[in-house]
Amino acid sequence: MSIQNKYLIGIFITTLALSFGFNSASAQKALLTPDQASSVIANCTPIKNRLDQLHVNDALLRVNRGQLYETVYSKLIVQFNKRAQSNNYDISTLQATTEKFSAQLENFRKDYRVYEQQLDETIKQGCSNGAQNFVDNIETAREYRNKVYEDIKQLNSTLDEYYTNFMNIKSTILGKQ
Amino acid sequence: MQEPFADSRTFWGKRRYLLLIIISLGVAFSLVIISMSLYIRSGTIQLDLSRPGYQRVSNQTDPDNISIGSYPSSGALDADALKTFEETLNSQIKKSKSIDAFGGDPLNPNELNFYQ
Repeated sequence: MSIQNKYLIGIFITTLALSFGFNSASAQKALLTPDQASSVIANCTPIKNRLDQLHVNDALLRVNRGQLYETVYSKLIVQFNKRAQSNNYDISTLQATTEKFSAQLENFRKDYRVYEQQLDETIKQGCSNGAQNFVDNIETAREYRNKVYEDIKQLNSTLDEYYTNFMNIKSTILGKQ
Repeated sequence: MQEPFADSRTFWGKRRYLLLIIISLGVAFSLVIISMSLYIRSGTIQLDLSRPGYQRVSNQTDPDNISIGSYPSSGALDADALKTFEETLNSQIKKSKSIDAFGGDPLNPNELNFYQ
């Protein structure tokens, strides 16, 4: 088989794979029936109002959650690690958990930013590009919001992990004293 | 013959104050554009509850989140120091779980009453 033919086959397979990927992605979003579409258009203003309300409430939630996790990270966890380290205790497990928490906090910030931008765009566009577009935008925002929720669950779980590791180190320290 | 008090300054020389104002406005405008783009790109805008439409919730931020003192990063780790840390950390963990933040499914079509 010539090199040219190999290239052509490669391009064909890539195109097929990509088109399959796009089809399966778009298939996830349900198409509206004409009745559903007209119902969405009729309810467009109340839906937008509810999205607006959610937008504001989530902003408040983001600020409160963000401050809570930032405070726990910078004022408690990092400070305790420094103190334990300066006392020559082995805190490798605490440090690993701290790094994980820091990475998850960054994910939370990033994912919230993506979600907020999507919701903001959805509200701004409203039904101007049709009911299907509006519903698809809301569905995308919903997926992004679920990601933020997953981030919150991960952060809480890592805090639990840190607490467990801390209790182990605490008993080690008290055992030595 | 040249007039005794003829103004020999250039066009912009005669309009120095106007030039100063134009340059000042240009600099101020550029700085505003730079700061606004930083404000938006960094995501600070999303945390700014003083924006129009967000003021009604701006007084609902939890001041306790930022008021807790920093745990001392130096000193001996005795039983008291460990107990203080444990209590503070535990209270913050309980707080973080006190509400199901971003839980629920408010963007569900049924919740938004799409098809009614």
